[in-house]
Amino acid sequence: MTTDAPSLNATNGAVLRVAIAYLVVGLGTVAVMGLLGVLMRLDHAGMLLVSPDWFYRIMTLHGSGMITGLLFASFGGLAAVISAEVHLSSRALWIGLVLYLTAMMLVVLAIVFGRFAAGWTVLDPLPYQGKTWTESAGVVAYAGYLVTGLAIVVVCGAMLRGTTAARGGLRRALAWEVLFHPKRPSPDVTHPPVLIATVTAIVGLVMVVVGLVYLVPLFLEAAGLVRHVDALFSKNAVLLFGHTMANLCVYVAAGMVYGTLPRYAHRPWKTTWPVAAAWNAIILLIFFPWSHHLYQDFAQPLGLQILGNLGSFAGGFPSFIVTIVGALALVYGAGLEWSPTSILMLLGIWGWAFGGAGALLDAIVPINQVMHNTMWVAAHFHTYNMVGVAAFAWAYLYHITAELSHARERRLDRWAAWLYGIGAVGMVALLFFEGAHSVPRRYATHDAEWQGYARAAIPFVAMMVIALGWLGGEMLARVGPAWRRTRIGPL
Amino acid sequence: MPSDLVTRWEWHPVLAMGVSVSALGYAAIWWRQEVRSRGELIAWVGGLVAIVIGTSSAIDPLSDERLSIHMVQHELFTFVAAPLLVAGMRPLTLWLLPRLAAPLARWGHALSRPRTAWLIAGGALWAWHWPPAYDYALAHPTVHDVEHTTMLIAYALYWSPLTSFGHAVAALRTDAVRVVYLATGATQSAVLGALLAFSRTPFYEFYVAGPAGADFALRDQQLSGMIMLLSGSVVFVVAAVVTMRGE
Repeated sequence: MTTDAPSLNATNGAVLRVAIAYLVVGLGTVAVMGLLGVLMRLDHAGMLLVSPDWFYRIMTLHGSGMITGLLFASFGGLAAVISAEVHLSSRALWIGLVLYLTAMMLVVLAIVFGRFAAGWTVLDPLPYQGKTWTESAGVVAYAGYLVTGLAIVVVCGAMLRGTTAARGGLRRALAWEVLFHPKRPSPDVTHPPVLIATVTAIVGLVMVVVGLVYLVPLFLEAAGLVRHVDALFSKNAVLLFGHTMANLCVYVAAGMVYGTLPRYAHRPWKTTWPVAAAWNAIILLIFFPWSHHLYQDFAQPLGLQILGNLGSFAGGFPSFIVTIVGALALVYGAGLEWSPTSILMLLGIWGWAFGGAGALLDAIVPINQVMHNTMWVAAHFHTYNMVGVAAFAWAYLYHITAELSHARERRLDRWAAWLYGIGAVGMVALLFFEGAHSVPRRYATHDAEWQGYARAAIPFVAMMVIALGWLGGEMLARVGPAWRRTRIGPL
Repeated sequence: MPSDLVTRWEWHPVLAMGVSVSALGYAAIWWRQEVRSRGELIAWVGGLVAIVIGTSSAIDPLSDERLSIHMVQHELFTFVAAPLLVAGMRPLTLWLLPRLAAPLARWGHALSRPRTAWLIAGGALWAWHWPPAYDYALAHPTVHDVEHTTMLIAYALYWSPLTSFGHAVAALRTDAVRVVYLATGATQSAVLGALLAFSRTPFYEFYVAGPAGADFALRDQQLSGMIMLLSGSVVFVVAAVVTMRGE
């Protein structure tokens, strides 16, 4: 069975509406957080003076807002893709959105009014004892992170329940018949987006449990029941949760690519043995690379350092070999239909590959010793998030609003998509150059000799702002008609 | 003092009579309904119990000493009593509507329209927490009672568009508008809670001039802000769980 079935032929308009809400809220958050990123870049360029107090508050908001915005936008897109064949509870998804909004509100208030600026660093005396904020601000920010975890549980629970019910059990939802009986072809194999929804839902649920492992001791510390939480334990747990969450974004977003790109390539994307094997492997492999962030922690056990190195490479294989090569094979010689959706999706594939390569280099111990505390790390995660995940999500929002509203594509839309690509690639390239020249990361003030990179990045940032301004306006204009279309009945 | 919270009760005759009449009257009307919902009865009684706890337990006298206790009292009225009374209101509304004068019924409808109700609740919340108004209410018991009554009514109006009492369907018909309504409502109280929790100066002169002093007043204000911020968030999430329909 193939995956070239149209993703929006659902009769379940309720899920499409909540999916649009996730995409609009998530990408709206990403856009606002992007503007905060511009402020930080202008500060690095020496063109705008941001006080260290505000810089770290902006950095905290930018980082946490971006990751959650991208994750929930991607959840929405994936829900829309699989809604054609999986009955999802739109009620659960709406409750998940309320939880996400509540979490965002708590974090924003802790930062704006409470002056919380610890980022996601939990090494004692952080996050509670900062120079500029009170313990209460730390508690509210971390309550926000806890509510984010609850939102993920609700969404992933709804996804897992939907996919296992639709496929008649977890084994079939994970396409194990393809994995374990490849020579007995079945006429009814789980489509890749449903497989991806199942895999990412399992990962999301396990990841939240890991998050609780460090959040609960932190709350006990705030309540005075625990004096100090062990620093090494905290750092491992926060990175196991946070690194997994950042990686989860791209895997959830990949579901939109599997469900949408075949329509532009006019070819099916089948659940072959490599596809089933790769996505099943991700359930385990996604939990191994976190330790490459702790190479410089002398107290970290050697076994975990080796796991970090090997796990980073092992985790990269499924995505590189199956999804990226698979996507390129899908479009090669297919007479790809060029549109903002296909342009942004291919850009996203590049961003995923290039950002992932940057991460793999950083995961090699000798390179990590030199590069890890430089802008190289910021470069790699901006590449796979901004050029990868964000491009996938923008592409899907463009696709779903165009399809539902029957809006015609304008020539300028395609130019805007290319412009976004040029701007984004230029911006991250300069971050990589900064890293390669040992410019440190997480510094509020940059020395004069470092400022040239950020200044050179400004035109590229301007290109992204112009492109997203145009595309965002187009998509927003289509949201109303698309929303009404979902109420008419079978699409 | 913690034991006071359980053992110290003061019964106000007027309030006791009002609550008793309200409970008995509601029970009589509820009993005559063709379709009786136990949930509505429990909600109405729960709302009355919340009012009794807020006004007759040690919370009431202690709220003059501590802003944090006063905040718990406000939360009981706005986030517990008001939504529970609204959830149990349907039989009462069905009984009352034919008996009410038309202009009065029109006023009721007009005030419970979502935008109006949202503005009234937000207005009451911010106006009564404005330091001069808050201090004045604390110094004048009658004004203090008016403060609590208006907060209760304002939030009863706020919660009413989320239910279908008296109407065929709720005024807020889709999940999307319910999310917007709840999120903006939650933000109002959360912003006020954050201002109280993260302020470096105490807002209310009444507590600063109290026997515990300014330092205690500031710490207590920060605690009250945390109560408002965190418990309010929980209430709005619970409201979402209850009112989302999957539409």
